[in-house]
Amino acid sequence: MTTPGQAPAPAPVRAGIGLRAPHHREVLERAPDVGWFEAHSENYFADGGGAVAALLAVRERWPVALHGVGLGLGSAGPLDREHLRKLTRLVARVNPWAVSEHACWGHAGGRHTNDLLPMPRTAEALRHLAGRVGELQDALGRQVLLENVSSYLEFRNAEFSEAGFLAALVAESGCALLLDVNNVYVNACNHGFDAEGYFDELPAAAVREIHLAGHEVSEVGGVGIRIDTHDRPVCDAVWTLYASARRRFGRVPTLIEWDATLPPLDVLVAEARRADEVA
Amino acid sequence: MKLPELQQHFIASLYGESSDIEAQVRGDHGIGAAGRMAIYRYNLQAGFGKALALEFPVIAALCGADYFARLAREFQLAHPSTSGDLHHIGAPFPRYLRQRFESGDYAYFADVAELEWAREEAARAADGVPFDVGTLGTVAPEDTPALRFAFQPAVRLVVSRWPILSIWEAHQAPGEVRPVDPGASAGAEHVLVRRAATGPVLERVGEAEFSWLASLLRGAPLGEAFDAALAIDAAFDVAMALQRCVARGLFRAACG
Amino acid sequence: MLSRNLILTAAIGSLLALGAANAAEDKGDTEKCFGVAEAGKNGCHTASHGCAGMAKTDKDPADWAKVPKGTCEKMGGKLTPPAAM
Repeated sequence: MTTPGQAPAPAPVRAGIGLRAPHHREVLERAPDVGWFEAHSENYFADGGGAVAALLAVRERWPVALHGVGLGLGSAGPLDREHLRKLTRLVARVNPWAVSEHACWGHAGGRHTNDLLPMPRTAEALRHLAGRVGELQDALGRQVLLENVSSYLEFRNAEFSEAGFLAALVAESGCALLLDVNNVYVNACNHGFDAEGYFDELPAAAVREIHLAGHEVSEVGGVGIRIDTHDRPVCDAVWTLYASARRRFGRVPTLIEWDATLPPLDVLVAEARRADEVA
Repeated sequence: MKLPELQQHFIASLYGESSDIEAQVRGDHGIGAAGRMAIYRYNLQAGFGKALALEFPVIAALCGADYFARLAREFQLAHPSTSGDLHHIGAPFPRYLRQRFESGDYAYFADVAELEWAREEAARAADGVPFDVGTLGTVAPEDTPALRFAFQPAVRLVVSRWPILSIWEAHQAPGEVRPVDPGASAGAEHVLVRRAATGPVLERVGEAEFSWLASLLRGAPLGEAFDAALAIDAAFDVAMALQRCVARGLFRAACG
Repeated sequence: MLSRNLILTAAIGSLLALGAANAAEDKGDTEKCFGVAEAGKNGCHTASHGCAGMAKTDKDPADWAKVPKGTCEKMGGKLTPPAAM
């Protein structure tokens, strides 16, 4: 166990993969050749049992990052203290090299969507989100990484670009960034902006981790829209954008995310190898 | 529009209560605000339904995918997720099913759901601590009836008028579901839920033993639990029952 | 009452005698397991919006299956409780 404020474990060098329950046993038995694992924090909030034991056993052999999906820091409603308590307990149990959350909101009036909803990009929303990030960092006694999310709509009252909003969040809260290159590509297509220009606006030194995942092209009323499904390989356009991100942000730890219709472990390992080979 | 108001409108739209949020949403690139909100509304239903099916796989199988999706949506409207962790959404589901199928052909769904939720809780409970049988050596004979036992956090008991464990077992073989044979196993079933090294274990126990376990689990002393079991079965073998408790790893500690 | 106490004391005594043997058997959940039973429910992806999926969103609830159509059909009408409890 570690205590809040203790130095985080060192960051990995080679690419990692998401740790998913159906692979727990195989990961521990076969020890696949990957740099690290990332776990969805909420899936290990249990008091005990097999999933938590598996994560702690993985932690014995690889660097682990904890990736929160349910805190919804941008929600105007009260911060869920019980959720925060469980996250703090898990961080102490695991001593991850990184703790990340999403730059999003998720609940209002006591109703949780368990989704990553886009922030209205206003100065008011920025102040609120930055305050919550600060509360989380204080509770954990360490810096956290905030991730850009895929979105299917934008609000009319935007005062910032998406990347500009993240840059301001870093400046105001002192957090770092988890850059999901697939999400940048999805949003660039869905909302019509230039992904390279997005990279230009980010504070390069704040980018500490990169995510890669697959998405689908769906249709709404005959018009194409990209949906962040995490159910297939990373597409060629995202690999190209990843190479560009590598040149700009350096060899920060990269993760292959795959959640729905989970493939055999070897498919994920091969995707991680491909990321390692990007110059 | 301020952040709290915008988020309340957004959630209201997801629950079909209002479409006020659409005035705040850009409808460009050929997709209108309503179409964009529909993507989030669908994701809310699909994510909830999928998580609920993971928590109640037997109920999902009993219903079939189409009916379960409808049931999950109805349940979600009545009991929206109240946590950022989807593991909590199933807690009110057995009670909801009890009201929903109060009488009639599907009344047994609620009890099957209760068993599945007990199994889920057992899987996630705090890890047990080994019981030191040797601590019983210090108990004076006259104090034995007053002994109480603390149980491991995963232990649960579920009883039903229906053969819930037989129904659950019928769904465990991949692919084929065996119909429950009413001649052999219809009627009440008493189930002990615990956690072993391999994960949660569901076991059928007799009515007298169930009564004995239920008494001890709620903190009743050994003598009282024995009396309760004897009232159901005059031949209840308390020595064997105690040995089974220890062999199954149910106890955490004994207190005089 | 005396005989009840004797039975209980004897039962505890037999537990102590068997203690060493039992210790080697099933230790309940005190050993680590990495079972896959508890598949993670939380994720950060969006549900696939394949045509069938999106169509379902817009479906009038009245059009949905009105009665359970899964394995409960195999359970048949045989599950009427034999007697009220």
